Amino acid sequence: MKNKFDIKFSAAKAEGKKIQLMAHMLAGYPSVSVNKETAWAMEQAGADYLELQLPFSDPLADGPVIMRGNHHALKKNFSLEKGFRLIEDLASGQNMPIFVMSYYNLPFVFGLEKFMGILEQVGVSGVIIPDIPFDDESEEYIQRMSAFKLHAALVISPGTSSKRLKAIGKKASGFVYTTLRTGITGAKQTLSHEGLTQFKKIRRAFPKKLALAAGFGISRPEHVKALEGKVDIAVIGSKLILLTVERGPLAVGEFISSIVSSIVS
Amino acid sequence: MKKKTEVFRRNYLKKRCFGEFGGRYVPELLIQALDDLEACYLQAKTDSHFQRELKSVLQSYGGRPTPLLFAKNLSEELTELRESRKSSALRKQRKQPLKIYIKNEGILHTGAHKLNNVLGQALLCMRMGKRELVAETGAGQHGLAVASVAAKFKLAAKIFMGEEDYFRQYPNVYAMKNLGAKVIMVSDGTRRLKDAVNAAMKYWIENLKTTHYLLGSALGPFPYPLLVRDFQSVIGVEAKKQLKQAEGRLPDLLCACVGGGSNSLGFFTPFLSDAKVAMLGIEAGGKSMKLGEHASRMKEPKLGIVQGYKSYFIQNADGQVQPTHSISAGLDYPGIAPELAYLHQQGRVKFLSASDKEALEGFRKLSEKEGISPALECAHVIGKLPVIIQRYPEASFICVNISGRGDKDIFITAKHLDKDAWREFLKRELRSLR
Repeated sequence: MKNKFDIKFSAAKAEGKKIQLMAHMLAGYPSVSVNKETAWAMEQAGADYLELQLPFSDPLADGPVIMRGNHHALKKNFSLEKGFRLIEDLASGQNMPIFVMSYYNLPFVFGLEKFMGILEQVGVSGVIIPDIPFDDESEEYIQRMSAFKLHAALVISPGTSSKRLKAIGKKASGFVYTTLRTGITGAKQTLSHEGLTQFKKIRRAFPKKLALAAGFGISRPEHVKALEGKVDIAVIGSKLILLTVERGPLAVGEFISSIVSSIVS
Repeated sequence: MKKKTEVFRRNYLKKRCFGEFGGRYVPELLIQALDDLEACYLQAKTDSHFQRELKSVLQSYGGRPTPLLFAKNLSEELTELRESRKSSALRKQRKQPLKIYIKNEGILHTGAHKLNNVLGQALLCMRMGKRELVAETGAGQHGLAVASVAAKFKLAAKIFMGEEDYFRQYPNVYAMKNLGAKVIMVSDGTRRLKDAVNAAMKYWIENLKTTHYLLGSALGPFPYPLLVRDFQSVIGVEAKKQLKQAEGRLPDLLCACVGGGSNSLGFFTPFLSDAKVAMLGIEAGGKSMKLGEHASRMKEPKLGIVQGYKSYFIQNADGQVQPTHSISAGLDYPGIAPELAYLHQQGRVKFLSASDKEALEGFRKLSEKEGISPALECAHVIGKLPVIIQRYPEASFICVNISGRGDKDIFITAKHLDKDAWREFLKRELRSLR
C-alpha cells in the first residue's frame, strides 16, 4: 500500500535528505485557529510531516505538557466533530502528509471503521495509536487500516526485545516509531544514552527499507543532528507545544528553521 | 490441581481477558514489564514456598483470618421491616427470619481488605528484585497498606493521590507520611482516583527497572486484574468456610460495594461456581443520576478502553471519560474491573446503586445496631439493605462484606452527623495549633 507519505518519503530519500522532520501538534490547543497558523508556519519552515494528536481525557503516554494541553482542549469543548473538521482543513490547506495520533478509546467508541473512513476521505496518511501494543491482533489491525489506505505506525521502545523487534519489523506499515527513552513524552535537555544506542539493535532486526522515526525528548537542533544517519524521521512534540503556547506559531517556525539549517550545514 | 492450572492458562492467559473485557492496551514501553510481572506471578502461584510465606504474613502481620459475625440486631430490625411491608393477608404466613452476616475486613491490619493484595504484590516485588513501590490511592486505604508494608519490608513507597481525595481523606495522608511513604498530590484532570492511577502509571513507566507498580484494584492492564483478584480471594475462601460452619449451608446472597472491584471480586470469586449463591454489587449513586453526580457505571454500561483495559466506563459519546462523584473516595472512579463487567454480562453478578444519603444511613445503622463503624464505601451496602431484601424476597441468609472500617471518614461523617459539635472541636484544635 502506498499513499502520500510513501511518495514524499521516497522523494526526500532520493534527494539525499539526511533526516526528515515530523512536527507534532495537539488539536484544539491552545485553539483551532492557532493550530492552523502553526501548521502553516511548520510547513514554511520545512517540516516534512504533521502529527496531529486528538485530545483525550486520559492520555497514558503523555507527560505533563501534552496531558495538560489535552485537558485544556477538552475543557474548551473540543469535540471529535471539531477534530475531524480541523483535520480536513489541515489536509487541504497544506502539503505535509498527516498522521493522526489518538488513544484507542476515541476510534473504539466512535466505531473504528467509521473513524478510519473519515480519515481516508480527507486524505490522512496514517494513524499512531500508542495504546495498541504489538500482539497477535496487530496483523488484523494493520490490515484493517490498510483497507482505508492508512498506515498504522507501530511504536517501539529501547526496552523492546530483539525477538519482538523482528516480529514488529515484519508487520510494520509506513514507519516504526521508537521512543528515545523508556518514559513518557516531554522535552528534555539531553537525549538519553539508552535512546541513542538502541539503533544498531533495531536496524539489525528490521527490513532494510523500513522507515524509522524517533521522538520523546527532542528539544534542540543538536538533538536532531545527533539522530542523523541513525533514523529517517525525527519527531518533535512537547517542545513545539511549549513554543506554540508561550511564544506563538512564528516561534515554532523559527525553531524548525533552525533545525533545518543545522541539518543542511 | 494440574488440570485446574491448565484451564486457567487456557481461559485467561491466551487472550489475557475475561470474555471481551480486559486485555492490555498500553504503550509498548510497558509490555516487557507486564510480561515480567506475569511470569513472576505465575511462578509464585505454584510455588509452595511463596504461598507459605504469604499465608504467614497474612496471619502474623495482617491478622487473618478476619471474623464472620452474625449481625443479630440488624437482622431482627430488617426482618421486622420486611414483615411490616406485607399486606395483612400475607402477614400470617411468616417467612424465615432474615439472617445477615458480616465478613469484617475492617479488622485486618491497616483497616481494610487492601492489605491482602498489598502483601502479595510486595512479595512479588521483592521476588523481581525491585526495591520501590509506587501506588495510587483513593480513600487512602490502599496507600496506607502500601506504606505500612513498605516500612515492614524496607521498601521505598511513593503514593499518588488526587487532590480531592488528599484533602477529604487527610487522616490517611498523615498516616502514610508518618510511615515513611512519599505522598504526591495529583491536581490534574478530575483530581481523583482515576488521575492518581494515571500519575502512578506514568511514574512507573519512567522508572520500570527499579519500581513495581502496586495497583490496588482488579483492573488496569493484564495481569493486574487477575493477580489482584487472586490475592483478594482469601476473603471469599475464609467466608465460605465460616458461613458453612455457622449455618451448615451456603448463603443465598452475597453483597459488596464496588469501586474498582477488588473487595467484591475477592469476596465473590470462591462462590462463583455455586449457582445458588446470588451476588450483588453496590455502586456509588452519589447525589443523583445526573452525569458528574454519581459513579454508577452499570446504570448505562458503555464499553471503552481506558487505563490499559477494556471495560465499562462513565464517558461521553466521544469516548472522553467523565467526572464522577461519591461521598466515598474509594467508590469515586469511572471504570470497573473487567471481570465484573464480564460477570455482569453473563448475568452472574447484579448491580444496584446506593446514594450518598443511603451510605450515611448505613454508616449510622451498623454503628448503632452492631457496634461496627464501617468505611463509607461498604456503608453503601448496609444503607441499601432495606431495598435489597425487597428485591431478593427469597434470600433469608445474606452475607455482606464490610471491606473496611470507618476511622478514615470521621471528617466526612462528622460533618453530616455531628456538625455543630465538630465545628467547636475543630475551632479548639485550630486555637491549640497557634
